[in-house]
Amino acid sequence: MATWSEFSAQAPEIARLGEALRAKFGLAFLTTVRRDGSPRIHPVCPFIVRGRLFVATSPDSPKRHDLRHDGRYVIHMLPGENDAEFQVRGRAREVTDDETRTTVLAEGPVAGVQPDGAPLNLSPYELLFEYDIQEALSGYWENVGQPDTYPVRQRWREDRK
Amino acid sequence: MATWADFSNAAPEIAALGLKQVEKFHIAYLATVRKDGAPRVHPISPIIADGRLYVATSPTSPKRLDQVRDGRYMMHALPGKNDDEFWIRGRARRVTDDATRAAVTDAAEHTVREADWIFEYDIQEAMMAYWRNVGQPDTRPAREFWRE
Repeated sequence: MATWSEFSAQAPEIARLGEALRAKFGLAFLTTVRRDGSPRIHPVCPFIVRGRLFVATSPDSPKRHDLRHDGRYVIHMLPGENDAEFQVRGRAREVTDDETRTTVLAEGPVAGVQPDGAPLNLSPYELLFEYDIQEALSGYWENVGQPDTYPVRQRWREDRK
Repeated sequence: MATWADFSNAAPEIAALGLKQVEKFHIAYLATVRKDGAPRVHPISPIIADGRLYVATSPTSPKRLDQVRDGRYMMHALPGKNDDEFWIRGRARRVTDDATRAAVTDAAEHTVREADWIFEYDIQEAMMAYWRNVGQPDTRPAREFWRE
């Protein structure tokens, strides 16, 4: 499994599109598998700290059970111009050591604004998962809305050792 | 399982938000499960025809086989104003009869190709949420669920 920066060093063009879509919307869709084997999809706010991809998850979110049970995930960014698409697939791991949690929550995105105007950082109660990357796909569509529309896709996959 | 029309009659407010989001963006996200048990997600264009919900899937899309093997799906609309959320969950079934294909092709706002596989999405559960105080420390969702 690769961290975001390892993936990005190997497939810079794909990573650039992903980062542009992530930065534009702040939101992406995370898909996990529930314990009964059915799929779950939720909007999340992925972010990158020190070259690693994270999502902070509310402590009562049902997806925590999914990820603790089976870390396999897909994160799909919102579509950009010409239906530009980006997704990463891999395994999520819960980050539980206090030092990493503190650093990542402090350096992670600002979640909002406090009543006095000060930035609101992520809550220390958030659960933190890191998303390791096995495969990434980017694409955009030519001739959008026409009968001959077709996708131009690029794929990166971690070397299997 | 409920059709879109059954669900819409039972939970008109939730269905109206879903319809609004879908009509605004023409895209929603469909989650399925692969043969190896890993999740899959793709953007799709939902089509409502005769009170039923469909998606036309390319004959090369890997998700068509996911759905034939295990119809369980979850579909999530793009977020709206104030991060409005809408999702449904249920089972997908492939439909092959000519009358349904013709109705779906007519109702679609995009081109449905003859080779596309058409699936109908029955609905078991739906949720909508509005977020209050977005970006504030006390932001919270107001959620409403419907379950068959």
